[in-house]
Formats: sequence, structure tokens, C-alpha cells
Amino acid sequence: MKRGNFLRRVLLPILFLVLTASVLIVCKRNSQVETGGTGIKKFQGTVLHMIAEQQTPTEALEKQLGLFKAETGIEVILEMGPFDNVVQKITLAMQSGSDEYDIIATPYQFLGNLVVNNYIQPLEPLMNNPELRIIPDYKEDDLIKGMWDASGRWKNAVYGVSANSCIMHFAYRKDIFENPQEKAAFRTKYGYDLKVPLDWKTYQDIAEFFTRKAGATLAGERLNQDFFGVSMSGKRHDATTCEWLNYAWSFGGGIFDEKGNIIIGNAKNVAALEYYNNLKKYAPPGVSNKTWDEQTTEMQQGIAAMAIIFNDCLPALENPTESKVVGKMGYGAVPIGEKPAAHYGAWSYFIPTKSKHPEAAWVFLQWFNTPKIQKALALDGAFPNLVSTYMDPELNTLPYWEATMEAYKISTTRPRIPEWNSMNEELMLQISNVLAGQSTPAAALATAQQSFERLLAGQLPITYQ
Amino acid sequence: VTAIRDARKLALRFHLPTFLILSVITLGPLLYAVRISFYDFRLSNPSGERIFVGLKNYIELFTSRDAFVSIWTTFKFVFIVVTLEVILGIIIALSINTLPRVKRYIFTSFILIPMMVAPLVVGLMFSFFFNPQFGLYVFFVKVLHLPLPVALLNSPRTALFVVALTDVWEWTPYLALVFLAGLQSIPGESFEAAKVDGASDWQTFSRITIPLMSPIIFVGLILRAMEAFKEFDKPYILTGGGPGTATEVIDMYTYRQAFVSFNFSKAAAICMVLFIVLLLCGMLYGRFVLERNQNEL
Repeated sequence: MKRGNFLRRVLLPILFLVLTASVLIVCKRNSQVETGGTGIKKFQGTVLHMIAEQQTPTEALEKQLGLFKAETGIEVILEMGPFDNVVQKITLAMQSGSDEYDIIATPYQFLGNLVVNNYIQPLEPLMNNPELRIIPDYKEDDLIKGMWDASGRWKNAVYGVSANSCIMHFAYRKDIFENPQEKAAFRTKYGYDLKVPLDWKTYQDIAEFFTRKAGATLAGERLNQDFFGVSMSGKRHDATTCEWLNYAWSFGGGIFDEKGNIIIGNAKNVAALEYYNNLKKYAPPGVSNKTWDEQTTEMQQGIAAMAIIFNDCLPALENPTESKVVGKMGYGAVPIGEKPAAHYGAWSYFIPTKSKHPEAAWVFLQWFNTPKIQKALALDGAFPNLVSTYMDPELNTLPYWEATMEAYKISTTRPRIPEWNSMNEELMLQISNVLAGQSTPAAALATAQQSFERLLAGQLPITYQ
Repeated sequence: VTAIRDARKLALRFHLPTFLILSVITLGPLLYAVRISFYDFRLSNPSGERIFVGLKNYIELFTSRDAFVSIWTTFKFVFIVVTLEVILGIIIALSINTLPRVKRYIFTSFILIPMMVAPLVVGLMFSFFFNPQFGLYVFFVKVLHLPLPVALLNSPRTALFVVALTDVWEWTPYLALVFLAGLQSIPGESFEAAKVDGASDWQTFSRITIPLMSPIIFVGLILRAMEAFKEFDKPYILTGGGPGTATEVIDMYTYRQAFVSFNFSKAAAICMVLFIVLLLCGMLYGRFVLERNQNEL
């Protein structure tokens, strides 16, 4: 091939493609330039890029984004994906210094990591700027303070707002709990009345009582498949540590004591893990490969009597298109051991330090926290951030609403320190080892204790988490 | 001499764009990964990206029990999948080879279907299939009263084997196809001579088919071993590496180090070791294929 031919046939097409791509990128960027306006339309024409987990609240939010654009002129491009995928994308974007996202959603346990790496910006400068108070119905004092602090405050600064206020609940089959035959049989067997369990002994008795083989009778009907007392998570996954921590806190254990020393290997945690491991014999087979997704399915299919589960799974149980137990469920608080506890597990919205449009992003977060939007989201299966929304009479007709409000009163949060992800990874592994029969609770938690001490060497006691 | 020079220049011109693109998208990240594997880059340690720790990450990798378990699991996984895929691949190739042409084309097209499914989708399909409450597997076990456990993915004894089986389902057709091509390249005279000499089927298979196919079997084996070594999607979807560490292959371990524990330096060190292992396999494969080509020339 002659030089002229080579240039014409190979290099020129490549050059053409590169130039075309560059022009398209420049055009796309220009399209994102804030064109501006006045009042609520101050940021009209701005395009915000947002990433969040694909879950009921995010899907509910997606339906409202058109309204946001109509009211403010700001377009939000929402990217959704599975948990791991979202965490991966956010990590890569933050670590590479990308300005790709204006709003990110992560579980609050990432807060410490995001702050110490300067990946997210404090909200106070935006909150205190009167020129940005352009959303009429937004009132900061309506936000539930404890929830906001847990999901967005790190030391003396606020970095985010709660995206989805999940908290763990006790969910049970009200229809079989209230069945007279079952009540009488339970009383005969255990010597006390069948009722919503307030302690772990009752919880285990009920789990045992309702575990039945196919062919047996349940509430007067013959079972055509096995029925189980409880549904649980046990996969090497966040779902398992989230569920087990309810037991650990309630048994009087936890990760740190009041002084900030690691106590994961103590006797109370070992007792909680022994109890958890023992409970699995009343659960459908395969506990060590289950997360909240499988728990939700098991409850929806009506093959388990009760579960301890996040409240954002509950709307799916009451959805007539996918659940066999609509109207048959009851909801309450996690049973109590030494003390009451309910795992608070919210996701939070943060504005990255590199965001191109932090002011418009703050306008979005204000709009997100207005009563009208919070109620619309709640009606679609999300859980709100506002006191006023929880008091809304229409929402109070939802079957799980009262239980959710009660659960917030006993909410407990997991650590948000930068090392928590590594600690959580170790905890997942050790609980999984126990449930798979590869380790004993005492040995597994002793290993976790050593691992935590190694990870936090030189930083103990942990005085802020 | 001038013609050779011109040919070389021409080859260089054709390779240059690919080389430049690959340098940007492959060599850049590779060099960055090499660099950070010698630093203490963790999200929980913001200044760690600038702290040189020498071989610490590599030493930790070779002295850590978790890493060792993961490497051992990977070797077990590779051994199971490559052994089963090679054996089944040969059996399928031999069976297809005996079919008439039209049936051979139809059958070959059918067995290629698993290869066209994305590994992630394969993982999801089998997670439904093995679901201990609602899966097809448990349905058959119950209906046929088979003396088999219902929760195969929940026992450390069976989980790795089940994950390996999903890989066997997906990739055996590939080896069958490669072996079929090998079989069809064996000269017919060899079989005719064996027949004339009164060789039994087994003697023909073991003395003629296998020795003549051994180069292609070796190539298939190396290629599949390299791919199996990088397995991630199926254990990730089916078991998440559990129960415990029963199915945590090296790529899952690396993923956890990078995106769960956010220890990028350690993850980079694992990637480097993995890269060297695969490079050696690739060199072995390259050398074998080149030598074979030269011998044929």
C-alpha cells in the first residue's frame, strides 16, 4: 500500500472518528451548562447526574423526577443498579477524581470513608446560603433529627440526607398467629399463649411450633409443602450481618463497648450467634445462601411464619400482584433480650466534592425532602424522612406504618468508621462459617475479634463512630 | 531485502493503531496497578497512596491464610472444570463426528447455545435451578424421591462442585467444537490402516485418535484453564464465595479486597500474581502453537 493510500484508508477514518467523538462530547458538555432563571427556576437547564441502588424507594423517586424538572427546570439523569454494582461505580468515580456524578447514594456505613478521603462535600455552606432556599415547602426542622444525624452527620458537619430510612422489623403471619386452633395447640405445648414474641425465648418457641412437614395441618388446612417457623439470611453478604446485629445488640453485645473497645468476641455476642445458628433449623433449607431478597420471596410465597426484615421489603409483602400473603401479615418490633434494638440501615444522598453542579444538587435534596414528595414516595413503597409525613393520616392506614414508627424509637446504627467495610467483610465471613458448620460461634467471633484489633491497631478506643 | 523491509513497514503501519489503542487502554492501567501494588492504597487510609511499602502486599498475599485458601480453591475449581470439560468435550466430539453431515450441523448449532449465554445469566439461571424451595432441581429430587440433598449450594462439600458444573455446562460445547475440528483433521488413512490391522475400537481410540488429537487437546486445555482461572461471575451470583470460603476463587477474593474492603493495593498485588500466572500459561500456549506451526511448515 502506498503512503497516500495508507493515509486515506486508515489514518483519515481514525482521525475522523476521533474528531466526531470529540465534537459529540463537547456538545454534550455544553448541553449541561446552567442556563439559569429566577426563583425556583434559578438552575433551569441544569442536568444533574445521580446514581443509586435499584430498590423500591429509588424506583419511586424516578417516577417523580418529571415533576422536579417541571417545577425547577433541572433534569436529573438517574442511574440505577444492583448494590455491588453501584458501590463499585461510586468507588471508581470517587477514587479517579471523576466529576461524573452530582449526587450519589450509598449506605451510611460508607460515610467515614467518604469524608476522610474528601470525596463528598459538607452541606452547611449550601444550607446556609439564602440564595439557594428556593424550594418553598422545604423545612429543615421537619427532618427526623436522629435519622438525619445517623445518615448524614460526621463529627461536626452534615454531609448528606437520608435517602431511604430502612429499619428492621418483626414481620409475622397474623392469620395463623390468631387462629384459635393454633393458639390452643401452642398453649397446650408450651404452657403460655401464642402472641407476638417480645423476647427471644418466645421467638424460638414459635419458630419451632410452626415448623411443619408437608401433609401436616396449619390453621385447619392441609399443607402441600413444608412450612417453616422463620425465614433468615445467612449468605456471606451484608444482609446477614445486618440481621444478626439485631440479635447481638439485643443480647447486650455489639461491636464496641461504651468506651470504644472491641467486644465482638464477648460472651453476649457468642450467645447471640449460637442462638442465630440454632434458629436455622426452623428455617427453609439453604439459609447459608440467602439474603433479604430470598427472605422476601419466602414470606411472599407464604412458606414461613415470621422474619426479622428491613421495612423496605414490607411493601412487597402487601403487593397483590406478587404476594400470596396480602392482608395476612402483622408487623411489630424486634424481640427484646437485655435491651431493645432495631437495626437502622438507611442509604444517604451525598454531593461529591467534584460535582459540577453542587448548588443545583442541593436544590434537588431540598425538593426531595418536601412533604409532597416524601408522601408520594411513601405511597409508592419508600420510607420518609419527615416527622409530618409519618403523621399523615393516609399513610397511617398502611399495615406496617405504626410498627415502623415504633421501630425508630429503638433504632441502633452500625459503625460508620472508615475501617467498617473491612470489619463487616470479616464478620460476614465468620457468621457464614458458623452457619455452614465450618466454625463454632466462639471460635468464629474470637477470630473476628483478632481481625478487628488488627484493623484498628493504634486507633483504639474508637471514640467516634 | 527491499521487499522484506517494505513488508515489515507495512505490517508496522497496520499494527500501529491497534498497538496505540491497546497501550492506552491496557498498558496504562497495568502500569498503574503495578505501581499501587507497592503502596498502601486503602480508602480507610487517605494518604496511603503515597506511602511506599515495598513488597509488603505481596508478602501478605503469600503468608495470608485467606489468600492461600482462595488460591487452593481456584486450583480445585480449575482442575474440576478442565477435567470434566475435556472428557465430556471428547465424548461429544466423537459422538458428533459419527453423525451424517446435516445432523452434525444441526447438533453442533444446538450445543453452542450455552456458550452464547452471558456468564452472569448462567449464574442467575442456575441460582433459580438450584433454589432449595422453588428450583427445578428440588422439584425433581422430591418428585423422583432421589436420595440427594436439596440445598447443594449451602454445603461447603458440594458448593464448589455445583459452581464448577455450571461452568462445565457453559463451556463443554466450546471444547467439543475444538475437538471436533481436531478429529476431522486426522487423516482417514490412519483409521483405515487400523481397521485393516484388526484394531478394536478402544485400540483405535487410544492408539490413534488420542495421540493424533493430543496437540489440540493440549491447546483446548490451556485455553480453558486460563479462562477458568479468571472465573468470577458464576460463584459471585450463585454463592457470593460462600458458604464460608468454600467457593471463593481468586478473582472473588480480589474483588472483595478491592470493592468490599477497599484495599486497592492488595487487590493490585493479587492481580499482578494472577497476571504472571496467566502470562506463563499464554507463553506456554504461544510457544506450543508456534512450534507446531513451524513443524507443519
